[in-house]
Amino acid sequence: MAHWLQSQHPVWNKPFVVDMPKSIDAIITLLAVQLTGNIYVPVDPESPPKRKLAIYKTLGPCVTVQRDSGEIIFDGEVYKVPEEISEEDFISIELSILKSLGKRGTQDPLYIIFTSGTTGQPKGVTISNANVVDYIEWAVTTYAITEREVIGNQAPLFFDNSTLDLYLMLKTGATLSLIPRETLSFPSLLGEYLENEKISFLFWVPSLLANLVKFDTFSGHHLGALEKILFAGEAMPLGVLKSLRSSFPNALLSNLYGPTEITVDAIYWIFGDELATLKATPLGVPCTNHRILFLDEEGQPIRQFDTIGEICVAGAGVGLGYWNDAERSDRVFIQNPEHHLYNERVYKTGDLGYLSEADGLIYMVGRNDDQFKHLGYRIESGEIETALEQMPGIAQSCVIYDKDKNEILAFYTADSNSAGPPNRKAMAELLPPYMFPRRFILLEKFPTTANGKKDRSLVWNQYKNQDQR
Amino acid sequence: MELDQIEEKIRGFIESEFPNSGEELENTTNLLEDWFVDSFGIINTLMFLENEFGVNVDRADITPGNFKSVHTLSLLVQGRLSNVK
Repeated sequence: MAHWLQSQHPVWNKPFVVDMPKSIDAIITLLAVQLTGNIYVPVDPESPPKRKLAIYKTLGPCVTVQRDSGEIIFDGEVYKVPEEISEEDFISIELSILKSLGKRGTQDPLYIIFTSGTTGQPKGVTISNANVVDYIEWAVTTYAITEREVIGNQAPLFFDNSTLDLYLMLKTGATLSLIPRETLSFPSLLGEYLENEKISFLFWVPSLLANLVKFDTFSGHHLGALEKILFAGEAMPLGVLKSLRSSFPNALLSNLYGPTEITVDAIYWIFGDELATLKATPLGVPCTNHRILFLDEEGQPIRQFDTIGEICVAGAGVGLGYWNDAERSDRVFIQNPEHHLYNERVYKTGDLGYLSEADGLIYMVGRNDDQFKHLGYRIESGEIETALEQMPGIAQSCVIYDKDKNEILAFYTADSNSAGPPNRKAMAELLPPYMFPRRFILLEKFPTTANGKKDRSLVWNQYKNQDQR
Repeated sequence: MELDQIEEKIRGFIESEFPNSGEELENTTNLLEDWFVDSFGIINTLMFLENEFGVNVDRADITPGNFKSVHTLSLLVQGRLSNVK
């Protein structure tokens, strides 16, 4: 495919939007795109058309790859699998691909993954080849991955957790099992799948592991092969973690932390005996070639233990910024405030955390803005609000995440036309289902802050007080 | 318990868990395709069935076919209830 692409699309450093369901075809496409010196952009094929349009708008000139009735189509042109290729031809094809790849630098972009943006305009996080090389070398060593590993992939390709699964396979020759989506939704099917495929390694979101614990799926199956359970994407509840430990007394359990902007993970922890006495789930310690800073409200580094600040990542994973959006990039990819001696970009995560003196581990306590994690998905309140406010009947909205109940709440004021909240079909045109609010609460008007903005914390407090009555 | 009683309870749950203003949830509405219930919503629904009806839904019964609509879920629950007796 890379060879064919070279002649069909002799372009360089261009985004290829891979709008395909997770499949071997999709993975072949990602590889072919990078082998031709271009940038792959996996998107959710089920994403609403308007959300995709916003992504295309940000990308600018690009090639679209889709799959239709078993064929892979590049900008309307069907890729034809070549007839049998002789060994000699194969070698010359490989050489020509390698030759052209030689022009490519390690700092060139490898992929762009879009994340939720506050105004409804998703942000294209751009990650370099060097970022991924460093990350994968760390992971192979830290988790002792060999070709014997059987990786049970949960993360969709448009979610950067899949980077670990994919490149562990490519780097070590391990087996990658793409778990079908239907299987992931049904604990019984999933338990069977893990058993039958002899999955040895998982890197999943905690929500999914929590469901399996809740349904006691692990005890009903023979999962002796499962030796390494990694999780990231949202907070891991301590109770779920301890249940995992009792279900898998000998397995490696590891929590990882990192936003897409710093290449999957920057902090990790492998749990040992201390798990029994933990009071909260730690993020852990920085990965090799990374450093973590904590910044105070003035943006200055905090040097004391146990003092909450914004988690800020420095090191080899810090990505290239947001594609075609210097302004938003500059706001969060900043010069290291520890010094001004040379250029060193660090990434401000917006997550709040601290370094504990007692155990030397990093803990996270929340966010400094209106972003939240729901079922492992990273969501900006602003993206849902922007969508809701385009729907008939809604004048203004305020989306708040209820962490205790894991529910998305939408407070809104009605416009003069009608009063009802939108129906699910209307929402599906603008938002993926995981962003649908669980409750709609009609307000007569929003309480405002001194400067006239809607007062989120007051909206929340009023709701909480009513809820308890 | 009669089938229509079970259906009514499950409908009530789905309507409050997955609010869909102005739309009518029928017993045969396709939950995943036409009501946009996402995969994690399935889990919450299963928890509801177990708590509400006191049945232990067999892991092997949690299949896409049984999860298609309120009607198929109700049949599953009814089957479980009669096994209890």
